Amino acid sequence: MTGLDPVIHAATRLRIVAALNALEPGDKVAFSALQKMLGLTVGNLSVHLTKLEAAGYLTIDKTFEGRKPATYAGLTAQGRAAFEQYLTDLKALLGETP
Amino acid sequence: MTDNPAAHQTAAEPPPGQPPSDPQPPEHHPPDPEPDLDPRLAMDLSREAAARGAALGSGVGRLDLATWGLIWLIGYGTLWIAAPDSAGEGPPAWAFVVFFGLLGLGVAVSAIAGAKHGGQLVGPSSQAGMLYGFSWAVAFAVGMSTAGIIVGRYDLSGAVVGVIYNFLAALITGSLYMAGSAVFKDPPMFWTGVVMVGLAPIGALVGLPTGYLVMALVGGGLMLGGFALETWRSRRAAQPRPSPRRRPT
Repeated sequence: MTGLDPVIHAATRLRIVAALNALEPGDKVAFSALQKMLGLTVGNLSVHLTKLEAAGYLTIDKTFEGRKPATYAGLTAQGRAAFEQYLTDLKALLGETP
Repeated sequence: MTDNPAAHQTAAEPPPGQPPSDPQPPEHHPPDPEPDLDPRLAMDLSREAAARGAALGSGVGRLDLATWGLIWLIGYGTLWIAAPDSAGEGPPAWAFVVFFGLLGLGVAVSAIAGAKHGGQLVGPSSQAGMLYGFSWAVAFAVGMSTAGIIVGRYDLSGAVVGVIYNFLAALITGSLYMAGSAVFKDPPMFWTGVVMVGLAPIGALVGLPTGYLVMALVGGGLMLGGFALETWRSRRAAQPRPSPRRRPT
């Protein structure tokens, strides 16, 4: 047991959170852009976004652009704080300076 | 907000006959099998994904640097090659057709890339990027049209006209690069702007056609160098880091 946050410590969710954390706070990325950026299937991305949203780490906004629906996802302040803590814990495990 | 994205989609049904813009998740989809995640792999995955996210968040900066670097290099290079050696005469009309054609191409590329990128990201940085893009259009439109009024009103010679337009292009480009460094929190962008602003007095001092060569090589070269630097930084950030050496016990 590593003691790392189990919500984040899964390959796909870690990649999602790390990518979203690199954006400016308040920024949200389109579902299709996130899918393409990380090379994930629609279903797999959707499942992991749902888990992150349930943990309060992420918000999902559904909207219409013209007549087309669009979905955007972005990290919450809680999600950013959790990821920072996760990185601190990870670096400690690896013996890196936080 | 519910926990199931499929439920969100049901609540936001597209109009009849309208294809959705985003792929729709299936109702019940089991997650794909996840690999075992040791700490080193986790750190590598995190850095790789963060670099991808940062590339998306940085907008079309790299594309703009490459596009405008080439346009300055080829456009001003064409004016320099075509210009007669004698001072007081400007380049022939065909050289200006090439130059302004390239400028138009650059504006089109930047606008299309900006619009495409704008559809991928929403939020504060997207708004800032849009306003920054507008500031380029307004500054160049007002600056160059004002120069045109001055040139027409005072019947200036061809050499003076060329110096004025070069001075303005360097000043506006450099100033907007410096301002952009604050918008995008990018210190190298500030120093790029400083050099570009520095081209304004240099171009005026050396006169034409040498000023065209300075704009092509220093201005265009600087932007292409910035493109190479950003590409290197992006690739380096995405690379896995070597494991630290274990201390002997």
